Amino acid sequence: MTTEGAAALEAFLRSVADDVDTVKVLSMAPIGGGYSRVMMRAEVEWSHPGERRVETLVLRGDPPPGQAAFETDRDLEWSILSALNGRVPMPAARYYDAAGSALGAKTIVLDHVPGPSLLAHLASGVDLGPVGIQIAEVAAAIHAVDLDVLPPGAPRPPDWSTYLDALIAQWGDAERAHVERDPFMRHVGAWLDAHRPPPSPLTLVHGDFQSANLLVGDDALLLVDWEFAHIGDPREDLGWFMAVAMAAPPDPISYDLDAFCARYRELTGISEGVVNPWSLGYFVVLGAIRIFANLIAANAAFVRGDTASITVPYNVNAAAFAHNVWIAAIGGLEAIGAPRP
Amino acid sequence: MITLPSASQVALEIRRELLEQIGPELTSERARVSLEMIENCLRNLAVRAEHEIAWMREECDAIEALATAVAEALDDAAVRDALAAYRDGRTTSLHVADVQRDYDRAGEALSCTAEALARSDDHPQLRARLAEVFATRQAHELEIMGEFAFVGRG
Repeated sequence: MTTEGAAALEAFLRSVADDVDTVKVLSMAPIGGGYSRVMMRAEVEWSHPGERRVETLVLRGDPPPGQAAFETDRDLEWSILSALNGRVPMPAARYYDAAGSALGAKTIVLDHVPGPSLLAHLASGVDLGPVGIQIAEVAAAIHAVDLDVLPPGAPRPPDWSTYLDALIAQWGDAERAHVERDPFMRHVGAWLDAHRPPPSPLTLVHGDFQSANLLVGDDALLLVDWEFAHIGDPREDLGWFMAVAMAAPPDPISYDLDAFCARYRELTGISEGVVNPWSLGYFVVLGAIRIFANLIAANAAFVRGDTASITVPYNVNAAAFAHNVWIAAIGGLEAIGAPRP
Repeated sequence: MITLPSASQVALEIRRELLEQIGPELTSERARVSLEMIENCLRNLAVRAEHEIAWMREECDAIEALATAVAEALDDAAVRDALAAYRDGRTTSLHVADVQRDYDRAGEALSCTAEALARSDDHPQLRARLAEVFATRQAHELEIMGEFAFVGRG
């Protein structure tokens, strides 16, 4: 812990917390595991009138300029987190240094969850079946959020067709804006356009729904890293989870896909024509574009000399892995054929 | 110039030195994750140094043959234009930047070819050839990637 870092955090917490006599930062340590934001864990001692308590907080801040693997909007993330506090299973969002003047960068302060990530938890060999059902329940809770509670800054697509048109168009648009050609993207975009699934209600979408972003709490799975949250098709989250699980197995959703779909449909009321193994396979591919577009944008920035993180050339492997996933998924979907409406 | 040890051998030696001598000295979790990423990138570099010029040239030839057949069969203007741009810009240079630019223009021709075939319900043989071209590209990417897992996650 640097003295400056602890002093800055103490001063910030004193400025934002109500009814506090003293605040002391007992320890600070970096948290590994994320590729895009700087994460720190801080143990803090609060003294209120007649009370003293110690708690752990998590600081989630922007990296220094030119060192971000992904560029996302911290103001929008904070406004979404603030709206979601208490409505979805996630650690509470507590404070925000919006200007970055107190903590050195725009930084969100969250409650700490002591449990492991679901990814680490799964490595201990737990039964995947019940976990798949738990994931269906978390996903359904996110996708049930009333869109009216979301901040005005969250873009609202006019309807599903317009939304899907734009999402499919991103495959070609992102490719044409890139520093080199990626024929996989254009091939996949053309395939997705020719094989559209039935429409779904538009919902809140987490945007990076994967086992590394689910924390195992005392009695629930809690979702973190909301920087890609948006209003969209809920199947994006389900497909993305399955896509990432191919690189970071196991996949509790695919373990019993029919049971997962049935539980998710039961909780959301979405029909079998909309959520089924074929449509989730479609979104394994389609849902990848948001993060893939960020990934190749970071790659382009690296090529131009605008960023300098080792994460960027390392993530070229993730791009190659994604190409492989898309081609395999499309081959599988063509083999089974789309379900009849 | 001195060509041996090869660039690939040097990259792999740097990797070994980092893993065996530097790695055990690291105490920071963040530094260990960086080292794992560097290790992965060095393996990528070793394969690329050995093969990338030949692979790009070979793929360009296969793309040109396929795009020519698709342009004729579908009379598709985008494929024709992309193919013409590739042929007009093509060089005989083996400098990596020149080969990469040729490969890039061939890549555009491949994208236009895939899009043209997606718009058509016919031509199963051309579709099969398209799948072969993508399979070759995929095989090269996978060989460069090698063993891959997201380091530091979880």
